[in-house]
Amino acid sequence: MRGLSVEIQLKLPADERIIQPAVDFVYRWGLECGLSEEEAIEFATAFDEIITDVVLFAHLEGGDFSVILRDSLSQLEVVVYELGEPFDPERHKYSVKKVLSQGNFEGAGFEVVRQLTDNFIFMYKGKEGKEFRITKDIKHTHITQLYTEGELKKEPEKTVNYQIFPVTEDDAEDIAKLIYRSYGYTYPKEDMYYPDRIVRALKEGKKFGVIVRTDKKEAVGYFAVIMSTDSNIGEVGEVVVSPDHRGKGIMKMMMKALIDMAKAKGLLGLFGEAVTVHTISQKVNAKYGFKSTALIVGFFPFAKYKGFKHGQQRISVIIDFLPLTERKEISLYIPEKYKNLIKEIYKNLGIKVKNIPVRKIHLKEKSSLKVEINYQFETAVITVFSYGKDFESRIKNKLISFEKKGLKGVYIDLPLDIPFTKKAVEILRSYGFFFAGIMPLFHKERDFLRMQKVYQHIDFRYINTFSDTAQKLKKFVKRDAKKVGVL
Amino acid sequence: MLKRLEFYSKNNQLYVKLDSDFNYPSVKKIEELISIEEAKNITIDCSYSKIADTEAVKFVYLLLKSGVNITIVNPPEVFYKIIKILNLEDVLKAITVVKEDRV
Repeated sequence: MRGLSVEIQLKLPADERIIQPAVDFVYRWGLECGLSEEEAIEFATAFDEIITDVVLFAHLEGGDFSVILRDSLSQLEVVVYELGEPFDPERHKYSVKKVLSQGNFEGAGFEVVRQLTDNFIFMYKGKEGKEFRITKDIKHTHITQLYTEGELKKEPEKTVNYQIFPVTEDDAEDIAKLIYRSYGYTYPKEDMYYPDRIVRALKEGKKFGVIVRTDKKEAVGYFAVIMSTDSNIGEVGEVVVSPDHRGKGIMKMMMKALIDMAKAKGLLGLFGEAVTVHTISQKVNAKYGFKSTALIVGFFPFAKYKGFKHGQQRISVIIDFLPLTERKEISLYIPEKYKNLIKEIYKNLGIKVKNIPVRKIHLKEKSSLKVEINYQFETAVITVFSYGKDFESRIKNKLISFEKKGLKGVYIDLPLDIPFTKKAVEILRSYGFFFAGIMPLFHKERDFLRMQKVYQHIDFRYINTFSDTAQKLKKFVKRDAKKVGVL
Repeated sequence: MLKRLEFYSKNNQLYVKLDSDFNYPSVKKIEELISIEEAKNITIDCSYSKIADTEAVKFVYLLLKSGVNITIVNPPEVFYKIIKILNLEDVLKAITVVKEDRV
C-alpha cells in the first residue's frame, strides 16, 4: 500500500533572504494541493520556523540546504536536510519559565512546529547532518457527510446482467458509497471514503480501474490498479464487490479486464499485498497467475476482520507478483544465506537466476537512500539505490530516530544488482533485520531484496498463507527472525 | 506588484508597515530602524502579512520588557496561535491590537 506522491526538490542557500520566498512557495503549494487557507498558513509557519533555525544556527559559515516537498491524496510532507552543527531539539525543550525569568525562547520554534503540524520528526544523521520532516493532513469530505446512513446502506437490486466500464472521475461518489456499503469503516485505505481524493487520483493518472454496474446502472463492483511512483509496475490495490452480488463472477470479470488494461499500458508487472488474516485474497491472486515473493510482517496496524480468528497484532501481508514481461534469465548478487529460497521464488516467476560471485567491492563515500515514512501505519520503508561507506552509520542513525518516534516496523529494500547487498544483509542482521523476500521490479525497474525489523511481537500462528511458496516463506521468515533474536 | 516596507518616525513614535510576513527577515528590518530611530511607541502594521513566527513573538516580548509600547495592526491569526502555544497570553496582553480592513 504505497502513497501516491509527486516530489519537488529544492536546493537553497542558507541565506536569510531565502526565508520569505521559500515560505511563500510552501504556502502556495499547500493551497494548490488542497489545504485550506488556515492549514496552509499553519504549515508555512512550521516550515518558516525550521528554515529560520537552519539559516540562523546551523550554517554559521554559509552553505546550502535541501528541501523536498511531497504530496499524496491525503497528506503533504516537507523534508528539510542540512549539514551543520550537531543539534537535538529533544534537548532544547521550550519552557515558559525560562522565557519569563531569562527571556530565553530556546525550543519555542520546535514547540510551534509540533503544534501546527500533524507529524514532526527530527533525525540526526551524524556526519550527514540533520533532517526535519513535517506533515499536514488534507481534509476532504467523507462519504458519510454527503449521504445518510439509509442511502449508503441501500443494496442494489439483484440482477442477472452486469456491465463493466473503465472507471472515470464521474464514478467517484459511487465508488466511495460502494466501499462504505460493503466494508463500513473497516476498509484500510482511508482515501476510498473521500470522493475528492478518488477524483484527484484518477485525474492525475495515479490509478486506473474498472467499475461493474447492474442493468439499472447501480455500482456493485470496483477494482483498480495503483501506479507505482518509482517503477513501471502497479498494485492491484483497491477492490470491492457489493455483498449481495458476490459469487456471480464479478471479481473474475474485473481482474481479467485489469490485467488486459495493464498490458495495454505497457506495465512490466502487477503486485498485490494480500493480508494474511485469511487466505481469500491470496487465493484470488493465485488463480490469476500471481506468485508469492515476500512475507512482510506487521506491515499494517491491527484491524478487526469479521468472521476470522486472529490475534490482536499488526497485520502481515504476502506480496504476490504477476510478471507482464518475459525475463528468462537474470544475473544477481544473492546473499548466501538466502540463495535457495530466492532462486525458488524466481523459478516460480519463470525466471532463471545466475548468482554473480563477488570479487572486489569498491564503495563510494555516500550511499543513495530514499526514506518513505507512512505516519498512518507507523512504518518506514528505506530504499537503497547505491551503497557508500556511510551505509551502516546512516541506517543506525535512522533507526535511532524511528525508535524515538515509536515506529512499529522498518523495511529496507536492497538492490540485487549491486555486490555490496551480500555484505549489507549481514550488517542489517546485526541490527535485528530479517528476511522478508523479493520485491521484483519494485524501484526503477530493478529487483530488490526486502529485509524487515519489527518492534512488536508477531505471533506467526495467526499468519495464514496459501501458496506453497508463501508457506515456505512463512517458515523461513520465522526461522530467520529467531536467528537474529527477534522472536 | 512588489510591496515595499513603509515607515515613518515622529516624537519617539515609529510606524512600520511590513512588506511581507512578520518573521525573522522583518524583525531584522525593524531592528535596524530602531537602532536609528529611538522610539518609545512602535506600531507594526501587518496588513500584508499572512504568517508570523516565534522570532516575531520573541521580538515583541523583549520590546515590551524594555518598556516600549507596542501596537500591532492586523496581526495574522497564527500570531495568536503561537502566543497560546507558548503560554504567553497573559504577558502579551499588553500589546495593543488594531484591526482594520486587510489589504
